[in-house]
Amino acid sequence: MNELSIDTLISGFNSNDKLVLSKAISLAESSKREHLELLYNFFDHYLSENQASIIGVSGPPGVGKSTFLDSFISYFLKDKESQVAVLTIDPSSEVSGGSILGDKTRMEKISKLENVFIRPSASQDFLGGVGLSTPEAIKLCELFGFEYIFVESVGVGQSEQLISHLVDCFVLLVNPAGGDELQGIKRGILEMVDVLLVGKSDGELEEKAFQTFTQFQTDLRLVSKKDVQKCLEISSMSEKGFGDLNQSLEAHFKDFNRIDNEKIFSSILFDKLSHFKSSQIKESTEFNKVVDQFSKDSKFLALLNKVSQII
Amino acid sequence: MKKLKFEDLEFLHLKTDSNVIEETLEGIKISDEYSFSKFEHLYSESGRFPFLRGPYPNMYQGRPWTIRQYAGFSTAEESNQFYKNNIKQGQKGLSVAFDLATHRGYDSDHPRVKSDVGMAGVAIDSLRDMEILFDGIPLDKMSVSMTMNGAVLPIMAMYIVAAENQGVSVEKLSGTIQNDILKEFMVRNTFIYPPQDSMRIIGDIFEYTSKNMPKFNSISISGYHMQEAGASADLELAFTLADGLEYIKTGIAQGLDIDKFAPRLSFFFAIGMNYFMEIAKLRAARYLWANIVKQFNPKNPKSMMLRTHCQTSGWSLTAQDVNNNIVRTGVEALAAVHGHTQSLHTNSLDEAIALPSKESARIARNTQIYLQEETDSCEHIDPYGGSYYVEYLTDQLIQKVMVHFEEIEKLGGMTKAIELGYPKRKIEESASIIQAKIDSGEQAIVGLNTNLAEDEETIKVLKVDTSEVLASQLNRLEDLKLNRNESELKIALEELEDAAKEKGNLLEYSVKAVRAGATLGEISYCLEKVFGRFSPKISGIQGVYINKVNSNMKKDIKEIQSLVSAFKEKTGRRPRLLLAKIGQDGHDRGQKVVASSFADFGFDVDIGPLFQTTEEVIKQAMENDVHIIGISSLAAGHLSFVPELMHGLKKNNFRPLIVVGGVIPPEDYDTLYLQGVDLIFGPGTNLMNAAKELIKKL
Ligand code: B12
Ligand SMILES: Nc1nc2c(ncn2[C@@H]2O[C@H](COP(=O)(O)OP(=O)(O)O)[C@@H](O)[C@H]2O)c(=O)[nH]1
Ligand SMILES: [Mg+2]
Repeated sequence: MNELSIDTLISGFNSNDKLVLSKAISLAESSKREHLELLYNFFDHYLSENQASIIGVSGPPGVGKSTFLDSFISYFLKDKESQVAVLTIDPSSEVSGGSILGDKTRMEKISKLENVFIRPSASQDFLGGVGLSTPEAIKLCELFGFEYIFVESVGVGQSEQLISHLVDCFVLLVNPAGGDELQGIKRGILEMVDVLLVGKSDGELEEKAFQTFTQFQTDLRLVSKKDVQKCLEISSMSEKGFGDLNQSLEAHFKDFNRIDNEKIFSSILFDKLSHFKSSQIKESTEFNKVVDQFSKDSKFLALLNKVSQII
Repeated sequence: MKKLKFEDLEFLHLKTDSNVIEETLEGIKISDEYSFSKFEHLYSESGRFPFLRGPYPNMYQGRPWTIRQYAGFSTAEESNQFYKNNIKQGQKGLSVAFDLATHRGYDSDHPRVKSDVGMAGVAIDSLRDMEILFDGIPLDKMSVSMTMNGAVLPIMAMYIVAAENQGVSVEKLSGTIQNDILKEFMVRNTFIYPPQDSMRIIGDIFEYTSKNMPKFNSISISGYHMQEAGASADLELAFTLADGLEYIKTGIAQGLDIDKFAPRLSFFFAIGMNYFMEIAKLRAARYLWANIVKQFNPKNPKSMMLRTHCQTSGWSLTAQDVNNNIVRTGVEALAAVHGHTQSLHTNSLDEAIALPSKESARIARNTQIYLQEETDSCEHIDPYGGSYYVEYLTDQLIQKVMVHFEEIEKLGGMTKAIELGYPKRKIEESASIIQAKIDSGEQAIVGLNTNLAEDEETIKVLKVDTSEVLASQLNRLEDLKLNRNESELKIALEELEDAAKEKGNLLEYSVKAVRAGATLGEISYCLEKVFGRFSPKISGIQGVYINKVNSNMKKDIKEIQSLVSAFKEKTGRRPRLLLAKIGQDGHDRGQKVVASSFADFGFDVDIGPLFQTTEEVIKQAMENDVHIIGISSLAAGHLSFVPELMHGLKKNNFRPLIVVGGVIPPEDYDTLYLQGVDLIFGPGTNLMNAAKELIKKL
């Protein structure tokens, strides 16, 4: 494929060319100014009616997010032909900057399906769990026409805040670990959760999962601000709880009305920049470099302004 | 059962307080002086508990070890010819290597095995193939070893029925089936079903063989593959013996008496270049196993006696200046003999290039004949007994293993530990450390990082023609399917499926299915419907390689990292590399080592799952928008899948850099370049140099 231009992007999206989508996500991952300019230029020009259902799945490393997505999406697609995108974020090494992107190897079943597109991205040291490029990647997938977009992010406190703003339905997956696990999850995070899943409810862990589930149920009732909040026990091995989850998602999206997508999107972008200006968040050399580069650049600031005008 | 504790082992605890001059890969401190004076165990004898000095009273004085060369070539006809020749030249037992399609339970006509049929061993689809394989070889006289784990049921069943048809009844059969599934999940990667169901199959085989096949070893508990995948001696020993313990528990859970099956358990270890360590390892293995089995109160001393096969290390052999490999194999064979193995395979000098040629196989076999007939190796028993150094290593290994046992126990036993990926991770770490030591020159390998040959001679290597093998297998399958009784077959397969769902000995039902004309793929699929096909969890390690690359390599690492940064400046992204495995080739040591070192260099690395088709690789590469597809090819599939891959990429208008690594015979290089491959990295590649070359090419 030749160099990307605004025209190739538009025609690629029009003709459903997944390679062009993939290249467009690379633009979002890029630290080069021209790339982001091209991308935002494309956002300016490309209109689409499509509204995807965006589902975020968060939780600590090893809780079973990737396995869950593999298993649940297979289940979910048993009787429909929907187009599904999965975005996953793997942590980059703080030492070398490199990464091993392993999530997709856990998604062996769905990675073979024609109607599922999976893009793992390296976090590039941005908030640990959410990738630098995640907001743009979600938007690209929506513009491209996917009906469902799943986002896997590693939960490390702050990143849940961010991911919950980016998605329409925020799913938190927790270990069947009993009380200790509960202590570790902040009230602020529980408030944002749409569906809470207690995972690995199979074999020896089934009983533990049940205990954890019962505790969470009471807890959720206490903290919840949302009207519909669900708590379920699941197993990615036995598909336990998948039927209920499916119904919960359907119910969630039935009368769902997203606050203006653009609004969220650009506010995230602003968030992203301002967060990094403030010192509250862990220093990130990778991102600071990018921010520095952009904030000195008048052309980009103008672009950003334009995006925020849409609000 | 009383838990085995270190304090209970009545071994002298040898300590040395002199200067430590070195530490081995196992973490054993080597001193220049040993000051202990007691060797209590030397009062023990070979042939008696705890068997440290040897399993039999008179060892090789009575009968030397069995020369057992592992081999299998494309078709049953060719392999049969090869076995017969070897038997004529003095080989006492034969050992069958199957191709990867067979290992993974696929018939040759399955779409996923196009590039695998007959490439890395013999293709067996049905009873007919098995009969040809043993044609003219009397199965009541010849001890047959079969390396089969995943598709163990149909293979055992076909072997039994082939014997029946020769007029040999099942109780006369002698030999060994590898049947060690636990290490498949760790390192060998030819599993089919999930761990639990696979363990049930093993239980059924134990039951069947203990009832019907008194002279047959029902399992070969293997550490060999662990060392070849990168494990140090202590890890190899600990994980193998822990697997053994798991199998004992399986047999007992099956309701078998310990003395009924423990004497039929056999072992298999690798023998690498650390001569003294390997001798110590075999001694420690016997000692530990005797004590492990003792916990189960056996009445028959044979239950506690560890008997083992050994193979010299293929990994230690180089693709460069290959005649060195003859010497390496000789040294390793000597270690196996001095450690008192019961049978031995010696590798060929062309090991790192292709399957052995006729010439190289002859030299490999003769290596053992020298030891048996020209040296005095058969005359002593435990010749290193009492050597300060070997006794110290033996004791240290025992101590290390006991510590590993503790860890495994904490995780809930070996099956659990394997499910958690613990041993696999340990072995991969060890492999990365070794790679770093070699790349940085800390570990010498003649012909590779020291004493390079000035002009290397090229040797003639064996070539397998896939299309020919494939055609002949397909013909025979078609013929079989035309000439069998479909309704009998249907009933037999239904019964097998029911047995899998409920109860019933699966080997018994597989034998019936084979009699009814079922193929290997049909039997395997029948069980797959009930058990499912297992897909392993892959994870990568980071930081190990770079930590080990010693300080004088800092400069090289810096150089690579700045090349990576420059690439990122230029393109906006880190170089992104997909490391793919195509076909049924399960060699993943190279893939893992390359992945972890390249991540350490600053690349973003996607590890592709095992057993992919080219279409799946292309899809993943495009979705991830990688700059490089690196294919690790060790089982000779490259000449068939590379063109397919290039064609698919072209169709999709996607062209990343294409790199092929692994066992690529020199004569294939030009063909691959012509097909569009950009870079080739063969065995022995220094990964720091490879990284530099790669980025420069981007
Ligand atoms: C180790 C080994 C095994 C181990 C594998 C453990 C594991 N988990 O990987 C065990 C013992 C399990 C094994 C089993 C078998 N093996 Co084996 N094995 C080997 C051996 C001895 C070494 C391979 C190795 O790991 N080397 C070390 C790694 C680090 O090197 P590497 O993969 O070549 O990678 C290096 C370079 O090639 C390069 N590189 C590779 N890829 C890439 C990619 C990129 C991007 C870059 C930059 C560089 C790069 O860099 C790496 C570092 O230097 C080779 C012979 C040999 N000496 O090469 C036989 C060999 C590959 N095995 C062989 C066979 C036949 C088998 C079996 C199929 C036998 C059978 N019939 O049952 C089985 C089945 C295995 C399976 N599931 O596929 C044959 C294949 C024959 C052929 N090609 O024609 C070989 C060649 C031996 C022989 N001559 O007979 N094996
Ligand atoms: N028993 C059980 N194990 C699970 C389940 N889901 C995931 N796992 C295991 O948990 C480990 C981590 O899974 P993974 O999906 O990689 O977790 P992630 O880091 O959250 O994406 C793997 O070993 C899985 O096999 C489940 O539902 N039941
Ligand atoms: Mg994950």
